[in-house]
Amino acid sequence: MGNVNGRYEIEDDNSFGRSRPDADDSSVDVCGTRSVDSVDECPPESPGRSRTPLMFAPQIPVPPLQSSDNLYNEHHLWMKEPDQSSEVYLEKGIPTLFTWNYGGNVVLVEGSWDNWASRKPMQRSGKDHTLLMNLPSGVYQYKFLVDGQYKCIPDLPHITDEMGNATNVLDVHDYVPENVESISEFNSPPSPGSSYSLSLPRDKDFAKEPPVVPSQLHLTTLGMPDTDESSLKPQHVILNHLFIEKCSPSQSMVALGLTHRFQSKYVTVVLYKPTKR
Amino acid sequence: MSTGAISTSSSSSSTSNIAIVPPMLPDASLQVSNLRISEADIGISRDCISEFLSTHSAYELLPDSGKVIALEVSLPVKQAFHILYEQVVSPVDMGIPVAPLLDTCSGEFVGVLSPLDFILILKEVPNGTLFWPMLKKSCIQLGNRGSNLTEEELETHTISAWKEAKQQLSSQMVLHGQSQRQLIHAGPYDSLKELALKILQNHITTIPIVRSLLQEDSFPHLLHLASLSGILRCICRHFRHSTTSVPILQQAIFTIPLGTWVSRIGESNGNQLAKLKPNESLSRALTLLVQAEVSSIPIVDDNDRLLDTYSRSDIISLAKDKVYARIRLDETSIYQALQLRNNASPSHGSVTGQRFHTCLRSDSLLKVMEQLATPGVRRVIIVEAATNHVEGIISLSDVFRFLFSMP
Repeated sequence: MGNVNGRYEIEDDNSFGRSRPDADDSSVDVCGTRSVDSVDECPPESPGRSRTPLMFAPQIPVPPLQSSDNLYNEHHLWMKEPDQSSEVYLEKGIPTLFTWNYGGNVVLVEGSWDNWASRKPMQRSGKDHTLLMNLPSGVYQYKFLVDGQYKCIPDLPHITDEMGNATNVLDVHDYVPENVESISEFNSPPSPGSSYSLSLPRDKDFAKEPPVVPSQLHLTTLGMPDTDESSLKPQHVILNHLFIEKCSPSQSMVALGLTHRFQSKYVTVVLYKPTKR
Repeated sequence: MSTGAISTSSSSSSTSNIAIVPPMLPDASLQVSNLRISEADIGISRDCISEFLSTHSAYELLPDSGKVIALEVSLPVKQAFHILYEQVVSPVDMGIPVAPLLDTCSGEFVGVLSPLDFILILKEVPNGTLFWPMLKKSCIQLGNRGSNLTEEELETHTISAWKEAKQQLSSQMVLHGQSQRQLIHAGPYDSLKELALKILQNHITTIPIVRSLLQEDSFPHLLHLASLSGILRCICRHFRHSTTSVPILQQAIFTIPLGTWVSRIGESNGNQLAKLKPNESLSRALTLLVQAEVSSIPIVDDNDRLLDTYSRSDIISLAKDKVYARIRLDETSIYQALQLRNNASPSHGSVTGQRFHTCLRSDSLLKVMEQLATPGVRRVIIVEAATNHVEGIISLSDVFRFLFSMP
């Protein structure tokens, strides 16, 4: 998925080649996890996360639009995460949208994905020209051929060679890094006002049955049979919870698992420890 | 904070080296050049890749959702063997069965357990008195306690005990970098260039990427086990479509001074290519793996045709059904060991059933790099097209030493 689904400099600047309607952004701002977007609640304009085209305009992810009400409504939908994941791109193409907003009659795009062999015409609508392509993940250079002249979009990342020829550069990622800080619901709520006067548990408390584990915590990827696909992104609800392997008391070794987030990536660490005799 | 990685790549692409981009070049640039490459072109390519590696950080190597195994340092070595075996056998094989070691008393990562450790243990076992009784214990239930080790001593033959024993061993044998006491590690914001140099200079294969939070937690967070393969994947991804900016990628590999080749008449070759026949003993293979400091040996038949390879990581396949406790190394042939390995992990291997990768001497460097960038592949064997004779080996460290102009 693209890294540029956000909106850049919001309403002021229209020179970034964005001609999409507002509703398309909601497919990314609802939240960072994939499961939600594949649910029917996505508005009809956005085709769902698996096919939302990338925009080139900003290569810097920007805060998506806030839609705080949607996030809580869809918590319960995390339970029924669909098994089929259409987000395994690997070497398949990632939909990428090229846009040219600077006029011209006939505009074509050519790039290093096929070593500059072919030029593709873009669809025109008024002053804007667009083209949707499937590109495997990688770094590409490209230019626009506008009415017979080679041009680049100066505001997007580009490189210039010794002879002064410039080409735009695009880095097609196969995942969207999450910009978690921008989602306001992730701020921890303040502590409740009441006092913490509960006493430490005593022996009789330990004799009782422990409280039932919330069912969301069963969504851990630990202990699940590995599949050939890359690991699915873990749900946020299981982060920073310590899981212990179920084993017989006589076993001399135990496995502990923990999933935590590091910036936009998730790491599951499994530690094997000997149990003390 | 999460914008860090993205803006790095975008700024690097706008300030990256001069890339000559011909607008309408025919397929000439895809052809593999068989001419001797000029020094200038080598220099341009090295600079371009070096700049790329300096501007990208180790964060990019992290998969979106990754899994790492860590072992507590007081685990018995035998159990560690089995844990790593399960990792290798699972369909999601991340390549090398290596695990960092955590010392919960000090709260730090103190080392790494790798296939070389197991090879050394299995080799030293018949000679030394350290571990054989412990391994034997698994198959002889109560039986003959002919060992002169007490029960208590058996229990202490943990990974930490092995590491200390290894220190003594390494003072007898000359092992590169094995006398390190400190864990060699890297942080997630170290540049890829620093990472690659650390791996090359310390003669290791994987380096743990650890985030240490000095103020908050007492434990460092293990993020990833990085290897040259991951770094090469980044390079390939970035440059596979701009081969004109890195001219060396289109050169056929026999024109580049890279890899270990079977010495030909008239050429002086510093490194001899080690090869073995399938009827030779496994202990000879293990000795060669350790002493020649190679990670894999091609196995050839009498006509010097390539049959298979035996690598250091194949030692893990001996953990299946505790074979290591039953066999004697000098009585097992390499052929039997290869069969054990194939039985242990039947899900591996490419479509053709081959577990090793080959290429031709006329293949371009980019093609070989793409093969090396596949997870789990650490070397590519150069064979002659028709006869399947072994001509040479190119490994990951060879490629990086060449890119950094290291000997």
